[in-house]
Amino acid sequence: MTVIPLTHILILSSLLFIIGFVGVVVRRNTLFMLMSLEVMLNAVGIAFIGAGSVWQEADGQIMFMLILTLAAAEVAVGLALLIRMQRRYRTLDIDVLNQMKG
Amino acid sequence: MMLTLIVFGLLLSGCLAWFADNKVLLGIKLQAKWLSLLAVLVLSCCFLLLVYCSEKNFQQLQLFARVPWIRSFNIDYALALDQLSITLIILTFFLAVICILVSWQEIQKKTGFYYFNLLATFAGILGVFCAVDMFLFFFFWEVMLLPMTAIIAVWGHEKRYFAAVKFFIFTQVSSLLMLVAIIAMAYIHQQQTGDLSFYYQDWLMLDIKLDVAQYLMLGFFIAFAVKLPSVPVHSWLPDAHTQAPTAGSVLLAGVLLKTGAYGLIRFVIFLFPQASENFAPIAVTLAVISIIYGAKMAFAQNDFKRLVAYSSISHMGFVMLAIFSFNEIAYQGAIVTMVAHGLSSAALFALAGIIYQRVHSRNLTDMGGFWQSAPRMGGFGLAFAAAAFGLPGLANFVGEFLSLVGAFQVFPIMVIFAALGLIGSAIYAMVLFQNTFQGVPSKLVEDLSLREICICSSLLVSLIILGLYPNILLRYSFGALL
Amino acid sequence: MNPVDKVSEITLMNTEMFIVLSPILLLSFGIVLSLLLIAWQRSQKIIALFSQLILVFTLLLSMHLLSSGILSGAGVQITPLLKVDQFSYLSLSLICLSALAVISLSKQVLKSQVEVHDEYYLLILLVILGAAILVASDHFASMFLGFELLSISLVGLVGYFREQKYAVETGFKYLILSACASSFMLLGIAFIYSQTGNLSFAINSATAPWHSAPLQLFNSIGVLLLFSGIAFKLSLAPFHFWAPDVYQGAPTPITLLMATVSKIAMFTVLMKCCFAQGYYQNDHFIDVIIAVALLSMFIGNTLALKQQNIKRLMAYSSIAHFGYLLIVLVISAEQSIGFAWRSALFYLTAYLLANVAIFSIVITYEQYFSQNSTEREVCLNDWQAMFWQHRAQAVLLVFSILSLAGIPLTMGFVGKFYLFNQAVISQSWWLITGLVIGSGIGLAYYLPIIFTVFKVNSSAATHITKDNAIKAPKIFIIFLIIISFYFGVFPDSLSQYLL
Repeated sequence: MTVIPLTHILILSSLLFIIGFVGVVVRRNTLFMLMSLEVMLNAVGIAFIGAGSVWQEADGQIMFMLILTLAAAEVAVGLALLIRMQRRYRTLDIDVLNQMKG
Repeated sequence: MMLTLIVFGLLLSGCLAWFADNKVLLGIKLQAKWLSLLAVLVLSCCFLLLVYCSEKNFQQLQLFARVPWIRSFNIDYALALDQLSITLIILTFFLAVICILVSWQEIQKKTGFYYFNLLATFAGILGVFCAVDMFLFFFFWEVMLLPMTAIIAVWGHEKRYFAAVKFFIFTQVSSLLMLVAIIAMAYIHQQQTGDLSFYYQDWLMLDIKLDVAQYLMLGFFIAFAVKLPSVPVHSWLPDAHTQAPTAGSVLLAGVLLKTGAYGLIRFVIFLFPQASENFAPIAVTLAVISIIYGAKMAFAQNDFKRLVAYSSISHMGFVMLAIFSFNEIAYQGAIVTMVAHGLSSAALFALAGIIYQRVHSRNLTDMGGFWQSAPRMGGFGLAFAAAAFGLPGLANFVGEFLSLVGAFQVFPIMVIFAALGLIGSAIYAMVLFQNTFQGVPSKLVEDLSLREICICSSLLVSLIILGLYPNILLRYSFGALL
Repeated sequence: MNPVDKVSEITLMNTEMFIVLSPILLLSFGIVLSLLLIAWQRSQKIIALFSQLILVFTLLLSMHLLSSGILSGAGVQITPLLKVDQFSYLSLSLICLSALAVISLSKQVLKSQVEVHDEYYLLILLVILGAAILVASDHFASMFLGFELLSISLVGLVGYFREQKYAVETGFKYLILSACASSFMLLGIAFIYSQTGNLSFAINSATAPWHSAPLQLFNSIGVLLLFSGIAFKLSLAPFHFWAPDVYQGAPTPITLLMATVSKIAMFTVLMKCCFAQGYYQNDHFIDVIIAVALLSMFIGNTLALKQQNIKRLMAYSSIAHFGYLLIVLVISAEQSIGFAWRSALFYLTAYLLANVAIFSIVITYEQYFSQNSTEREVCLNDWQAMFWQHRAQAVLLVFSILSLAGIPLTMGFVGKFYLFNQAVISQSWWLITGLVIGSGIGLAYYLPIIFTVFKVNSSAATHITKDNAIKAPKIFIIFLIIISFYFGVFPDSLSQYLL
């Protein structure tokens, strides 16, 4: 079995992370922003698991489970806000949320 | 202990004046102005008694109180007096009375709070003059700033907020630089002796490397130069003076500027003798520029108070010139100039306030020919203008003459330029007098009331006494400096 | 290090650890109890009282632990996850204090609502629990848990009054940005972990076992990402964009919660992490800190200049304040860590008191507006002539503003004095320059507030006369005035606890 070098894993996760981040920044639909956030979090998860397997420790996988929990909680709150938004503004476009200036 | 009582007595009587204003006690309606006048008189008597009765030799700093204050930084509450501070404190008390009398009728709204601020400022100034722990000094230095700003901001003229903010920011930023220098000094003391110390007398023993000392000296110098004020950090002064109520201007010109000079002598020169000697050419150049620039700008003003404000810059330039020439005669000149300028500029600002009450303008073009309707005011005006340009026989002459004579031995060329400032002062003082009292009578004004005569004559008498017999001051302030 | 060593390293909890951990345990237990309480009886009064009780007991317990001396020295390690020392509990006490203030202020706000708001208090308690875990954490995992507990509960609170104009907008902004920040932080942690192989703070990354050039790079990026995640929470420039909007849109007690609890906890964990990992020895990291500090001082102060809305102004002012506070991270030697903690805690206390005072006054005004059914925000002009109408309240306000500006007689000055000392010791002249100039600019917006309060003749139409008095509870005001004055003049009485 060939060992995948740690740097490769890290680069992969960085790429995924950047894709997710760009998604959050570029997407106007709040649902897709939430999904991009998930991508970011999962990219971090890959980095943790990769590092954990290199160090032969469970820590990385435990962190990944914590991250999954976090992602679930965050999405729950996010979807709740999404429903409020849909009810009030009848759209999911982030650009309607720009009333505060100054 | 007694000294502490006097400083905090001022503050307490300020609070008392604030809360007791317009309350009725035993059938008498209490008034803040009477209360504060009484307090200042009583406390000044206490102070004179304290100095007179103590057996101490005030040639050197005499410690009056020293108790630990903030142990985690080894900061003490320490007060001390010497001849320099005694002279300035007596001047402060004298001008405190003048300030209260000047605002007797001018301040009609929120009197209680006004007198609280006035007395709090005086308490702060007193603290500055006698604190010998540097943290305490800084503390008082800032505390006197707050009520002063309030006086400008609440009772000032039309552009008061701007003036107050400018005044505060200039002083605050420069004093933060001083704070940095103070802290650095304390840590240098820690390096050399093992203990953190903010105590002035401890610092005198320090042996600081010249290159470090120069930076530290600069920190102190900037703070005091702003207060003095010297070009190029003077620009707060004309605004603050012009916008402040009369008593505020008297206070600013009479005493507050002197704290800058006091700091220069006590801290810059004494703590960093070598560094300040190296710095002297720059400081003297700044002083001469201030003298000439102040005189020139004063000449160009249309506003009575603004004119006097610029003349203050010019006069304080003489003080700085004298301080930085490291010469005994010049030092004495500096002291006399400080006191004389305190009296004469206070007098001119008081006059400005008196005129403002009558014509509701500070603009010189609105004035003219007042001599005819108010000859007494005119007489005093002439005398004060003469004091400003240094007529022999009045105190300013003695001070400026001594400063120039002393400084001439060290910086002859600079002094020649500085002497030009004297001519300038003659011009602007005469312009001021002429525009106000001579020419075609524009309005009829009421002559001075009894209270105003009291104010003016007491100032004039002290100017004459000091002018004719400066030995009171010379003898007294000699040892403090060398 | 092989897995077998690791297992033997983990000791089980012993009694001492239980005692030391008791405030946090009490807090968690209290949260469970209040859930049961809600199931049993739904009443706003009872739940508010109960939450206050929990906080008071937590506060007393941590104070007791502080004075008992158990914590002195290096602190107590409780499993690899948590490490409690006196500084943690000092900040926990601060957090509990401000949470108490938040709850008592919330009671006023919620009074006007018809529904029963159990979950509101529960969420506040969860925020406090998150903060408590943060200040006690000694491990990236526990830090992450605390961070998320705090953030997600805060998101719920920020958009809590769902009918209000800005609720959805504020909630969404905060959610997205805070989730981004936490994923940045997580990625940073993952990178650091990939090099050190350990998630504990105590592993110094500079002396980590395994070095290779690309991983070294990832480690540096990791530290930066971690710092930027925390900097987001502290709303340091350039991660400050959310702060003014969220401050403005959130219910005012929650703004106070964000400004104090969340920031104090985050700053404490940042200090713990930096000092334990020895980042202060890394020149590049210090340069980043200095740059962020200078930028925050500058941006916070300049943008505050033209604000009229008090809550926005406070947001910018807090950006600047945390910029100042970063000075304590720049230390030159390990010996000054103790002093850095003391400075930071003193400064935070001053900041906390001033914020509580100012926001409680903002809330009283908001209450007044909502009673008169004019939904609007508190602006600077509403405070005109306050001094002549509500003297005690105005004195408190002036005191707090002066404290934020760092003028003597107030705690803020002593805090700033600490910071100056810190900067002089570490000889970071750039930071000193920034601090001096920043304070100068700061005065330009703090002083106008004070002048507004003192304004004699107010011509504004919104002028509020004495009859319809708007007042915070008088005892509360006088208590705050006395405290801030007393600690400002006799800082020893506070700093002796910090030793």
